Amino acid sequence: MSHDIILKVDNISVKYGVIEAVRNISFDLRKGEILSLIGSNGAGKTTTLKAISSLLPLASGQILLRNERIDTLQPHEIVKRRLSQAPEGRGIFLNLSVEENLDLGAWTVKDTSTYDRDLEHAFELFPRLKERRKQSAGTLSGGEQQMLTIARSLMAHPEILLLDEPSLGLAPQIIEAIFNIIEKINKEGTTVLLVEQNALQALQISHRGIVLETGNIVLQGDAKDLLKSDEIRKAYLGE
Amino acid sequence: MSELALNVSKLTMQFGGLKAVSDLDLQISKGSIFGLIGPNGAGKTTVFNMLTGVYQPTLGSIQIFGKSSVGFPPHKIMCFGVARTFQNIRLFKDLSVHKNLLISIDQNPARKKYSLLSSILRTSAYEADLRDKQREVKKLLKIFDLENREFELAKNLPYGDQRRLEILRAMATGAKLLLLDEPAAGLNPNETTKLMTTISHIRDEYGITILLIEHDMKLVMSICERIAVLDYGVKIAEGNAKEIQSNPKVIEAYLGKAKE
Ligand SMILES: Nc1ncnc2c1ncn2[C@@H]1O[C@H](COP(=O)(O)OP(=O)(O)OP(=O)(O)O)[C@@H](O)[C@H]1O
Ligand SMILES: Nc1ncnc2c1ncn2[C@@H]1O[C@H](COP(=O)(O)OP(=O)(O)OP(=O)(O)O)[C@@H](O)[C@H]1O
Ligand SMILES: [Mg+2]
Ligand SMILES: [Mg+2]
Repeated sequence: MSHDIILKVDNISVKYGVIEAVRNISFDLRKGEILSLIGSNGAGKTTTLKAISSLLPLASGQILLRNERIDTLQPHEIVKRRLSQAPEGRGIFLNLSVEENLDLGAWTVKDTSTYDRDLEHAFELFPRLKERRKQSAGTLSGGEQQMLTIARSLMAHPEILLLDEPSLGLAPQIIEAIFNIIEKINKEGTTVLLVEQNALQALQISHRGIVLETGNIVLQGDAKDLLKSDEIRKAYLGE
Repeated sequence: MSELALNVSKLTMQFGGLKAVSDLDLQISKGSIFGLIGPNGAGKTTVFNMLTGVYQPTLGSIQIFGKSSVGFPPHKIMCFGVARTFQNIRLFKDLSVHKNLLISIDQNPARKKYSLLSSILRTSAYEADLRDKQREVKKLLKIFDLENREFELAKNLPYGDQRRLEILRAMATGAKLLLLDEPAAGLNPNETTKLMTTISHIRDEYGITILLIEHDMKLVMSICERIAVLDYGVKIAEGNAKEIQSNPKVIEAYLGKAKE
């Protein structure tokens, strides 16, 4: 992992009407790292990820991707810059089949041999999706939909991947597998910004962590140190 | 034998070539907390869908508090004293928390229905009923400390609070059997611990029977008195937490090797 900054979140605020959900927060995402964003219910984690993907406008501040300002761009223009997001609560097309959803996830990939390889890879990660490739996504079980959400975000071949609660609704064994996959794609070069309720497991695979509380960053540091902190263990690790 | 809240026999659901649930037998005693677990796609939500009339079972029988419910559509199922929450949250997103609860309170089959005329005339009985419903909303919100969220739109609540509101909505119908589909999904470990206390409290305080689906094993193993395990639609085990945790079939299919 280098210290090159690939994404810079610079003093951003995000509002819903008059409610300020995220307040003047700044952090850097370093090329090649896994950075975890943790915090309780309503802390502003999803809001932060959505702001980065341009799904929400900023009230103030700016976001720089490889030194280019991106907070003024459209969401699809950001995906083109190889930053993609697996949203909380899915965001797949329920009327389309598993395979069609994966197909759409790969819209930035032009070359068919890459596409075929990626599809094979996705099916290797989630054999269940291969069994159900023709089934419409809306009739998949909750966990199967979550697998599809993650698989789809990988199809875009992102250089930066934002994951919003990837372990949501998954069986214990699959959760293990998901964390292994995140580590693996990170080792293969993808930079990851990870939001998880499962803070213990998230920090265990992360290089660094940020703790959000009611829209403010209250703590950030090396994941190892955060895992040792009594305060964190009590507040987020359920001890 | 104690009285049963739910008695299911040979329940089967076939989707084309796929048997999502096969020959399921389940007996759940009144006042118990019962867990239904198993891998992703094992058929757990499909069981809930049959219990609530969303799907008509291919085969089998369902008795809720002694009455057969097969063949009744979802909006009639309330009359059997059962209500559910959804794995993918389904609230009236653009209505307030208050309004979401009122709608469910109005669905309580035990509540007297007032005619349009009495609501226009604002008869005193109607007025008293309105006040009673407002009190009921407050009482419900208190269970989860959500009083200060009463007038927010449901969609503006953080995910965890939306989950709590779903449970309250199910309770608001007056149900005596609650089916909770992954109530802890999206909650952090501390919030999950709080939820566990609340679920036990709901049972103890209101005598409500609870059948829950959950992948959070800490929750299941600490509050469920009995647990059934589904794998590929088939019940592979049933017992208490200890029995389930040490069952080789369950470890193989679902729990995986014990950590730590
Ligand atoms: N569309 C919206 N309109 C108004 N307020 C919102 C909206 N979405 C979120 N909020 C509020 O913004 C705050 C931050 O919400 P956010 O969804 O970012 O939290 P979170 O950290 O992702 O929580 P969770 O762990 O529950 O997913 C919360 O107080 C929430 O109620
Ligand atoms: N309408 C349908 N048509 C075809 N297959 C279906 C339909 N509904 C469900 N299935 C399949 O039946 C299986 C059981 O689904 P169900 O939703 O009951 O699983 P589950 O045990 O709740 O899983 P999870 O833990 O992931 O929520 C899944 O493999 C799903 O894809
Ligand atoms: Mg969130
Ligand atoms: Mg399910």
